[in-house]
Amino acid sequence: MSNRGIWVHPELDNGDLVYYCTDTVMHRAPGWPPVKSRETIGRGPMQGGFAMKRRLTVDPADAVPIWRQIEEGLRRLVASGALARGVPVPSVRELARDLRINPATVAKAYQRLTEAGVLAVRRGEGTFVAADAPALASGERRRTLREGAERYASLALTLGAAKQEALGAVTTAWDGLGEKGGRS
Amino acid sequence: MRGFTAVLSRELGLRKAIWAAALVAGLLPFLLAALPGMTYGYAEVRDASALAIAVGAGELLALVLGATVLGRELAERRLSFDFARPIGGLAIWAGRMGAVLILSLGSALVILLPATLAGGGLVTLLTGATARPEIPWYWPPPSPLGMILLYVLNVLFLAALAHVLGALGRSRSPWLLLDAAILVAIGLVVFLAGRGLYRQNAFFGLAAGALGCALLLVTALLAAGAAQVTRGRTDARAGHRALSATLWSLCAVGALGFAGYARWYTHLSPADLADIQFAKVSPGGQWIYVGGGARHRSDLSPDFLYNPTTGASLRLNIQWREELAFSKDGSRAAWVEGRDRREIMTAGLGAAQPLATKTGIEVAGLDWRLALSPSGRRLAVLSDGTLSVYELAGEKLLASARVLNRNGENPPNEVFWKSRMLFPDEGHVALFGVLSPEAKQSPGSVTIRRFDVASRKLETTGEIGGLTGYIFVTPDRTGSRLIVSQVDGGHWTTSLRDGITGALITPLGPDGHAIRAAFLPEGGVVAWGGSKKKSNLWFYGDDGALKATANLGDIGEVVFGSEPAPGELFVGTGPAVKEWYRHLSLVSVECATGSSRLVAAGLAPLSGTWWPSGQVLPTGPAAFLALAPDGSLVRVDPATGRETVLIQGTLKPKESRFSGLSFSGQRF
Amino acid sequence: MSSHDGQKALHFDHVSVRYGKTTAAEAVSFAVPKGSVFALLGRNGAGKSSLIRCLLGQRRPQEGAATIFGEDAWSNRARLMARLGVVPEEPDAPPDMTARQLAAFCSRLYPSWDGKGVETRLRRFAVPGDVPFARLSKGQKGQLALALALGSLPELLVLDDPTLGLDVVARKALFEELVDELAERGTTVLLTSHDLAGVEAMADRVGILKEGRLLVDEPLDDLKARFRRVSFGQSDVTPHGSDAMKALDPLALKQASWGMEAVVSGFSEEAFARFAEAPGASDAEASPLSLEEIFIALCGEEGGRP
Repeated sequence: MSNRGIWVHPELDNGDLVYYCTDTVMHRAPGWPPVKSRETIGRGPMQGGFAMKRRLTVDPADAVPIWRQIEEGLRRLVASGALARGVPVPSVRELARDLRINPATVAKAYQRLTEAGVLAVRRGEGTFVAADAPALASGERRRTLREGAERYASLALTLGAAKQEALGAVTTAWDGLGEKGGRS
Repeated sequence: MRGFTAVLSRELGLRKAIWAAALVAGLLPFLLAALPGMTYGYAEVRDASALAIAVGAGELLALVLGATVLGRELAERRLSFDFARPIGGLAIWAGRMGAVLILSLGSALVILLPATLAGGGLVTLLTGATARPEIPWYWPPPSPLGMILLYVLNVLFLAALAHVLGALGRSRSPWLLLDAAILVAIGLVVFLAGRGLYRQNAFFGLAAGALGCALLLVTALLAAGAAQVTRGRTDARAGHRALSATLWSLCAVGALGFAGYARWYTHLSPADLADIQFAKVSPGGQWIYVGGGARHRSDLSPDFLYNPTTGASLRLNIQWREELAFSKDGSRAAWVEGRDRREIMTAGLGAAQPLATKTGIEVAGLDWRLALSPSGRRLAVLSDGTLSVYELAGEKLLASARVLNRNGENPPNEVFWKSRMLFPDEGHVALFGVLSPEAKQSPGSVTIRRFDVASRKLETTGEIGGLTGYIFVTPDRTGSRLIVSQVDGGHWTTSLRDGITGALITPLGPDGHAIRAAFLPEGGVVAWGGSKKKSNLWFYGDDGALKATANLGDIGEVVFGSEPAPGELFVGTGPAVKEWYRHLSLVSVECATGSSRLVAAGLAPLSGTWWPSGQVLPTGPAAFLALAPDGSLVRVDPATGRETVLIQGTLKPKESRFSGLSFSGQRF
Repeated sequence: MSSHDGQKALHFDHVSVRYGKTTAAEAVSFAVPKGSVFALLGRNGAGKSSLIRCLLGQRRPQEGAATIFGEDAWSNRARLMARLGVVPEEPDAPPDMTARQLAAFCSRLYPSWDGKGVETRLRRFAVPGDVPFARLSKGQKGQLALALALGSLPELLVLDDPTLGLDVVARKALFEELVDELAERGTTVLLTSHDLAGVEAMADRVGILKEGRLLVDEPLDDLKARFRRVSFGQSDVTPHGSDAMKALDPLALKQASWGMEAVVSGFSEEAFARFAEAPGASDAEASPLSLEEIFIALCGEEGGRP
């Protein structure tokens, strides 16, 4: 199982986001410097780890409590399919260490997600995305979609982009992420 | 305990280099001893320098480490590391203080080690035995344990002092001014208390007090340091407060305790007399001048004017014991007080509680004689070869004259303590100067001089020459008669002479061989002498005619006391043994018949003629006072012999009474 | 505090600290529940260090008492310190002792000592084991202090501005250690820091001191929920006076070039909606504030009441 550890690359650590790669899921991103030191910071089948962390960021300065940011972020990742059902999520400690937040905050988010049926705890194995994780409620889904679109449209307007140019960028981004389970 | 040992071993561990340095320093004496040009032997130089270096290094280390290990770390708030650990405050302090002591004392031992191993000399040096008995060691010989304890105390003191001074110095707080003020105040209290002891020559009390103060000071310094650490912790201000509060309250307690001790030590009443060594009764008999050893104050011999009837007393800081003059009417006493400036004091004895008054008259030199005129209004002072007469009211010098000897020399070199001065009437002073044959290689003599106050003339009226051995003179109350005795090789010669011309009236005793003689209050003289087996009392009239003889039988020693009633005489009689004065019995003798009876065994009459000649105390309140062997002053019922203790003495039977037991006689 | 004493890791009960006539803390009361990460914030001189010194039993408050696990900190300091880990503001230790000697010294004092953990951390922090304390860098001293503090497996960790003087990498390492400690042992933490972003991510409860008085003592989430920056266009009626604005509990109101801006401490969606619709305010917008902004609003030059 030793090859199932999570390796952290210290040189990639720029202080605000930690990049992980795991032996089983992601060996190396194109253009990354080679891994120099290997230090085990956690164990277990962490297939979900990489994907989740790249998409899950929290902003402690935001008015929204951190635990809610995690909860909503994970819900979104699960709902969007970025985190497949049945894959393990990082342990509380690992995620807290990664985001440099209080583990109790992560635990609170996980607990709420577990209670909501999004995550499931398997005794002795860790926490996983529940096999029957509920999809995003249609209302919330619509609202989230609309908010995201507004933010993007506002950004595009600020940059003076034409509508077509902006839509094109959306398409490109969509295709780039598509492989990871997005519905093309 | 865990904290203490951890801190202790840490502080020791951080200073391992000191041990190495001490070992190197321990080799230094070898180098010193090998230096060329040393006058002393190799071993002596080596051992002495090893001892000096060890003692010095230990003290220096105590100072330096005390200031740094405790003082500096505290001042720089470095103790917060220790205080954030589970270590008690006392352990933090004690661990460091312990390290300072171990390092200081340990280094001293390490420095001594090589020299000790090289030869046994150091061991003997340290244990106080001198290696070479022909070289005198200092006196008293040192007690090794005492010296080591003293050194440990010294090191402890230096370490604690360095800590406290370092901590205070670094605090730079305005409260330091208050600290300084308190220090001055406490210092003043200690100084004044110490001066009080010093002025009364209470050197034992001073030493005991100083030792107590030193112990308390070390305790106070240690406690202050501990309080600063345990109560101030990392707070410099609170630390300073705790330190000052502890230090000064302990010091204040010590200073006040010392002051109280000094007061207790020096403020005495006749009741504190444990051993009356000396007494002199005023002519009226109401007041006695008593002196002796005081209870629990081994080096104080206080003197008092004491009224046995009323219990009133006046402490006298008299300079030369016995030199207190009463006026003939008993209304006044005069004496000399003062250590550096000797001033004549007087006290009126008419009051229930007499007060000592300064006269403003000083005496020069160490020898002087005082005499009060019969009324007590005039004072004659013989000092530094000059006779002066003062009017006490207004302190006016009436007349003075230089006393010259036969060859016209001044001072006349007469034996001061044997000479007598008398103020027989308001206008005249009589001097009886004894020139001892032991002073000059010539026969001794007694020179009789008269000073007329009105004409200021000092005349030599008579001279008795050709005396040998020890010479004693006693005039009577008016100066008209004189008893002169001499003892040469155990052979006594005693005579009654004219008090002005010195002309012989009669030899006392068969062939003038009386041993003791005294004037009787009603006139006449009593003398005692005779062989070991058969001793007699002889009673003479003023004209020298023998009136009665009393056989006392097998009596070794006799002192004349008082007249309990006219015509009756108290004498102290005892065997001729060593310290005979402690084995006297009070015996009453009928003057007319010579019959005697024992009044009380073991008692000596208070005003005994310990001197070879003297005066018998007239009937009066003091006539029934006697001294017990334990140093008590008692009153005796002449009929029953029952004793009432006035002042309880505590002299133990084996203890020797003051060796210079008073030969007071009655002179004024 | 609704929690009873048994649940409190530490408790300040009307603690006042004075230096002569200067008051460092005035009747400060707050408690930190077990398992909580409490951030005590304040500008320099607000009284944090004085309170921490009281808590560590190094200073006796003039009034009130600081208790740890229900015991008075001053009277039971030595015993309590066995259960505490402390990283002081300016880490200090006997200057001639190396990290290794210090660890050995500490290991003798605590009933349980995680020597291996200390070694691991020192290695991870790259603190040399054989260099005297005085010659370590400021960051290394702090890391050594943290390693020693964690070595005793404390129940309560007191971190007095632990990030002071640490560079980005060291600061990250420190927070990671803290996360590990929290995740593994659920240690209670009392933290003071000027790194408000770091505090924001770690603390679950915040106390804010200003001039010796405790302005704020509440869960971080609650604090952030009730603070907003409200901007709006001004019209004839002065909205400042309006009841709707008062309901939002404004701290500071200032004229911005495009209109008015207020920091409010009593934000709620309903109250804001009422304000936005009230006459006098136009184009009202509410934007969230970071802890740093809240802190500045409370303790800045013109900062006001909570």
